[in-house]
Amino acid sequence: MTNLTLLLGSMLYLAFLFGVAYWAERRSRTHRSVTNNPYVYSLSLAVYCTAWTYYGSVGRAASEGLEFMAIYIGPAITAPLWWVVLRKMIRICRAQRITSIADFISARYGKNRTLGVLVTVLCVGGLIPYISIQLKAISDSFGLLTGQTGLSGGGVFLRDKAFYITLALALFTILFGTRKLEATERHEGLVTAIAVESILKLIAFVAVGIFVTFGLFNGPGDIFRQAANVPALRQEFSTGPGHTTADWFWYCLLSSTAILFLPRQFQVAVVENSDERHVAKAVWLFPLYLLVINLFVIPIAFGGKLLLGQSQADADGYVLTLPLLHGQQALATLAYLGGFSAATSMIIVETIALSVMISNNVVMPVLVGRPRWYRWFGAVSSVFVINVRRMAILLLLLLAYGYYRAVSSHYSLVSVGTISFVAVSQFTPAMLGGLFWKPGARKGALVGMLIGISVWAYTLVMPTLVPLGWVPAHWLTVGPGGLGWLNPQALFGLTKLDPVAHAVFWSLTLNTLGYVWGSLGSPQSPLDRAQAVLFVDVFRLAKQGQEGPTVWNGQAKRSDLQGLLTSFFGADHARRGLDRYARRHKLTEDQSETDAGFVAYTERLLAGAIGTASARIAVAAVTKEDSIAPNQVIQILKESQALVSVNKQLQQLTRQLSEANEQLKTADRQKDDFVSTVTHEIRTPITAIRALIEIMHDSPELDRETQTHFLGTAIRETERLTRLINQVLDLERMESGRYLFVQTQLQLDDLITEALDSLKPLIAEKNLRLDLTLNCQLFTLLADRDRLMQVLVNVLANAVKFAPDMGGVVRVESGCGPGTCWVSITDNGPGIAEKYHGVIFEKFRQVQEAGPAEKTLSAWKPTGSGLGLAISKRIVELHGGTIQVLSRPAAGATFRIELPGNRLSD
Amino acid sequence: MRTPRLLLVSVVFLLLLNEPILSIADRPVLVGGLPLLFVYVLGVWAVAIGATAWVIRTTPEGDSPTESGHD
Repeated sequence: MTNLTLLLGSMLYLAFLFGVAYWAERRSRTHRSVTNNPYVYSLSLAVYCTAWTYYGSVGRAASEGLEFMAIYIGPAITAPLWWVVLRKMIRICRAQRITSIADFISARYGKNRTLGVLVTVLCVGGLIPYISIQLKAISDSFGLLTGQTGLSGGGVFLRDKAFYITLALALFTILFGTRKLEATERHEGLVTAIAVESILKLIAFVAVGIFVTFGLFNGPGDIFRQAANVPALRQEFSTGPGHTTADWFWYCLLSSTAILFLPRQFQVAVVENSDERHVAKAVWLFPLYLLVINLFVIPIAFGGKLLLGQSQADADGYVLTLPLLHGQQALATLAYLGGFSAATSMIIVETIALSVMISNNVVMPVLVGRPRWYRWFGAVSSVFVINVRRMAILLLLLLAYGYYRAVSSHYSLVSVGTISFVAVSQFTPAMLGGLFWKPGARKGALVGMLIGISVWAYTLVMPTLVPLGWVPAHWLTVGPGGLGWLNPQALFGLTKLDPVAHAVFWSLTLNTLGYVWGSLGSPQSPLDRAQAVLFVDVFRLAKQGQEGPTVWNGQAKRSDLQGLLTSFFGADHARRGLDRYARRHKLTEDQSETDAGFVAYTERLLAGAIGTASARIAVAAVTKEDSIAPNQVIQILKESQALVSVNKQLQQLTRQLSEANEQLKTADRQKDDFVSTVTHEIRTPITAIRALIEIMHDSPELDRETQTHFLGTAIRETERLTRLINQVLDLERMESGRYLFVQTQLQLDDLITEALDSLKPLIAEKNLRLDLTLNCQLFTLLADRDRLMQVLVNVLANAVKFAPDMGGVVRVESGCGPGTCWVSITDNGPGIAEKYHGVIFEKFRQVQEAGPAEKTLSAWKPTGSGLGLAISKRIVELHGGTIQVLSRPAAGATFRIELPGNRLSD
Repeated sequence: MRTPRLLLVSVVFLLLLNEPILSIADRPVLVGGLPLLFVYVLGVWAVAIGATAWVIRTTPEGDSPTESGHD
């Protein structure tokens, strides 16, 4: 394939990506977002797999066996924890409008400028080599495919294709990364393009893997059988001699922190995230992606070794050379494009993330800190910010290109990549501490990171300068100045770990110790403290619907703040932002002085565009701020805490009140029902009595016998009336607690016998069978004899009443247990449905019930008043006992009464 | 319930894929024509993915307040 065709093809591919991105942006504008879905989100996370994965893993596997996989095992093991860690980062960034990891650390530790600069510098310093190896990978793969070797060596850069590809990438990145000012507004086009690239590189790599495994060999078994005959490969089947599995752990740790804190990962996973819930799917989809892309690494590596000999230098290119040497031009081109997409996606996202850091954490704080400069830029400051980012992107790519030309040809893809990983892993203590540990302070973050960076530079970066002759070679053997314990690759004589694991161990350990020591040793500033609360408690604050404490004290004019927003966002956008705040907090237009909440809101809006630290400086410049004493902050935080607890108490009170209100309403309704039922019950006998008396009044000729019969009926009705009224009075007295019991010692069995005696005529009349098992002789009750008798008669009468006329059975059992006497009375009547078990003990409830059960229930009208069971229940309860019903429809009913009893001998 | 279960999955597979358990599989033996170590690592990895997906699928999002009252 010729130079020109491939160059043209690569450009065409970039144009295609551009098209994809353009399409996605257009869709998002019409609210049919492509990126708002967990699959695109998971695929965009696969920007983790760069040319290092694509080419470098194979090279590494060829010489070290399985060791390369730790870089993917780490994220796979810790992915479940993203549900906690990543989700919290997303939530905080959205609330605080944070747009990069530098901004995150700076915002967490009191919006500190120095920390922002430090993180940015470390990121740029640590990642330029990483970007440059992507350029190297593109250039090398280009060389392999066009048959030119040694492309990366010499020549004027103007004739170097890599230079033009670099420029093209810069152009693409600028076009899609820096169109809008607010970085919190997501780059949907970019994310879609990255997702497409992730699919392409996966397909390409798996295609090559299948070709090598099943085309050039007869499946994986064949490869390993042949490899087993080559001693150099055979020893890679296990970690074997010369390697230590202790390194593996440190590599896992390294990669699991890098996946969270690499600027490009932070960009796609946190800043570009459109919905927290996507994380739930990504925690298993992303590891699955990693697994699939790694499946064929070892087959390709071993296959390449077997077919192409032992030369180590070529191993990085097996993905291309294997198809090429077997005449698979199309597959080789696909593989090239896969590698190209792996490299370009990394370059694009990483440089955008870094450019935002540079503009927001390095350039803007300097600019907005100088009012004269600031005024000079005046109305065009938003354009200025964007131009800073564009320049930064170009500069970063040129730096990476320069590094590639000068240095990176000396190293393999993987070794440079791991050095970058160790650099970003230095954020781990400050980040995790910032997320979960409120005392974590600015000084701790600063001290920890400075120590970590120093150790990283000394143990990892310095040894790479040895081949360039910048550092004397004997430092790596006998140590600087002959001091063996200072050997960069064996600090304090630690030789058990390989150089990378060694650097991870020392830098992270000392970094963490520095962080904790620095945090505990220094008091937090007011802002530091407030930010710590906002970050660590982000979920709790959101649950309470709060924005958290605002630590600000001073005077600000609305017009000043509006002017500030206008200069960065334009008049329209600024106005909309302010209106949104005014609407939410019901502010009036003419208020010129504003409160702390409004200042904080402006600052957050601004932070999305120019970074937290810069926004702090800019707001401070236009407002009159009074310094806040530490005790004031404690006051503010306490008030916010107190507010929360008062709020909670209020909620609880409201709940109790509304419950009480419900109860009152129910009681009121029951009272109404009761009154209407009682009057209804009273009216029936009165109507009868009146009718009878009227007949006698109007017909003096009635014979004596009829008169006697009528009068007898009238007397019975009057008795019924009296009984009813007595019951109502009893019930009311009992319910109001005014009823006096006359308590005596008595035996339950005696009482039962007596009650049955009074019902004998009824039982005989219905021809019922009576099963009597009385077993409660050892215990006595302390109770009101007449009242208890009333209960027993009532319940027994019910049983007799509901037992069928033919074959009716009433079973009465009694017994004693420790401290209780019980009696159960069972009939074989129609039974009661379970939903009425509570209802039958209520006053007159049978009258209101309707439906198919009405018949059963309305039959429950003991002694005609509907009050019998209600009174019985009250009496039993006043004696400290319980009455229950066990029944199913058509299966009879059992009433069980339990009363507290005492052993006879007591 | 989701958070503690995910934490458990993470810890279990951290143990399975690290020293000293990893060293059990770290021997030059072929299983079905494939080196034991490779089969073990890739297999456990696949199980880890399955376990995570299962936890996500079977637990409600309970511990996440889905609404956010502010921007």
